[in-house]
Amino acid sequence: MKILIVEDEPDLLNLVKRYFKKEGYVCEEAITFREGYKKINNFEYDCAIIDLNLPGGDGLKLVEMLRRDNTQTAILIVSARETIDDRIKGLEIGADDYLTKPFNLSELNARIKAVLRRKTDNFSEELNFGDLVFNLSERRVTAQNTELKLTKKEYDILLYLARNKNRVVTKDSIAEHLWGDYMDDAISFDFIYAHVKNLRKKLTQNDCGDYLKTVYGIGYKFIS
Amino acid sequence: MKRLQLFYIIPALIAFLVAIFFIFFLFPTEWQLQAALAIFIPSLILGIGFRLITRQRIQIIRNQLYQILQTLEEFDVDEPSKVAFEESPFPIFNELNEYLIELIDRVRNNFQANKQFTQNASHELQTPLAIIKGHIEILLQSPRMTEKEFESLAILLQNTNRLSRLNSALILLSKIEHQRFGDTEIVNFSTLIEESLANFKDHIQIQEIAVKQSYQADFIVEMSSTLAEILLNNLIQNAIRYNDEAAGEIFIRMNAEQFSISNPGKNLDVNPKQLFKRFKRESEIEESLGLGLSIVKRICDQVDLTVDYTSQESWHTLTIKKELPNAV
Repeated sequence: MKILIVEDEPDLLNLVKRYFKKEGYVCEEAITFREGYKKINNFEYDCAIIDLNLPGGDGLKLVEMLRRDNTQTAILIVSARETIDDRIKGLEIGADDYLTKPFNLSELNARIKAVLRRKTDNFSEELNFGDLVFNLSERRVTAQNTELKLTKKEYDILLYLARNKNRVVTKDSIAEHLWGDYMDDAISFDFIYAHVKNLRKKLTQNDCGDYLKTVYGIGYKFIS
Repeated sequence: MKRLQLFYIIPALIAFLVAIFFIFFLFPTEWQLQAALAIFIPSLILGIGFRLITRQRIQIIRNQLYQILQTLEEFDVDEPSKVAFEESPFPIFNELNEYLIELIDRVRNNFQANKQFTQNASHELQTPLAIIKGHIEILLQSPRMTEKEFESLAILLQNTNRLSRLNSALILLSKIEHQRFGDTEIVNFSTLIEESLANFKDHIQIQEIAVKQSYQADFIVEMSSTLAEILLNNLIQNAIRYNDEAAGEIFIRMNAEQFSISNPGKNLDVNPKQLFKRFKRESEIEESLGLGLSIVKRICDQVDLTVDYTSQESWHTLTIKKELPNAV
């Protein structure tokens, strides 16, 4: 899996690179518009993460160019521009998703996985994590051939944690994933706590292992 | 100005002399009558002459004032086009115009600087915040972390998130203040309230809050729908956050002139008048930024709505009302 990260902030660039190297991806970088332009022209990538405010040009042009030459590359815009207009424009030009800064790395990771999956040739509706099988189009989870009866939010939480498996996922990041930035306070955390508790109960009822680990004060971790 | 004076005074003087000449040489009657006429007729002519002169001048001055007013009325602080006034025959107007142009330039520069800041702030502050958050996330994955270190990280994370939310809220406030939400449309609050309640469905459910509605008519306002949404989300979020833990309830009343959102809850410690000020809040809820109600107030100010807080027997009510058009 080869990823191009176009970002002018070196610290943020290194951070994203470091995070995705751990996922086993090959990461290439570009810190200016020109550099991004050259790399896009000369190489092929499975995925490109593109910032919009770049020295030397607008990231949207890179998106346009990538989309014109290559339909396979998954494109994710990451930007501090947060108006709905910017978002719509980015998606219209051909980006697959749009994430506003500041973002959580777990959110970026989950989005990239979702986008990459949609792009791959042998598009499969199913996703396996140990005993658990997610059917993404029907939004169902089966464990050892029995279906788990999950609420919509329980399914969302479980999938989000699974996509970030073996990593600590913070409560804030889960709250933001579920509700955008509507509410990230005690009530949301209570809600998440209650749902994870129910999830655990449903998993053990179906003789699954203990996938969900609580990281006290911080969040949860899906272990496989 | 000098030119203007001569223009009127010379013909007036000539008329004055011509009148005296006619009276003395063309009507040789009794000297008393001659004298009386000599005083009366030229005075009349002079009077009429001066009246004409002043009227014309007042007309010019009035036109010039109107022109300045019109230029100022058309002036848009957010538009780069240059403001120009016509050259005036009166130096005092030219001076005024110069002063106005200088003032306008200064206001414009301040506005642009402020706007620039708002636009940049999101980028400039959010990026370092994203970096800090990201590195905390990476540290969290480290397997060799002691419990104490983990605790520190949790606190760091909590406060970074708070900082990040605070920053977004301040940027939003500043955007509202600079009227960045210009597109207005007809907003029906009853439909918007349904949407907002749906957004908070999970929170309403987990707090076991009963939502009751009593609508007599739709509350309809022409405003930016984004602002209307932010307004409602803040009000409903408050009603959930400060709701009674044991017997949760939200009561929404609406008619064509106003709507109100009430909830039972603890009595306030702060002076209700201070509620809409920034960073005044019921401090026991830590996650609250203390900016929600000042955002509500700011939006109301912008679109001629008023917001009022009242409380009765541990019920807290926030009422949004249409401002009466200049009630006497």
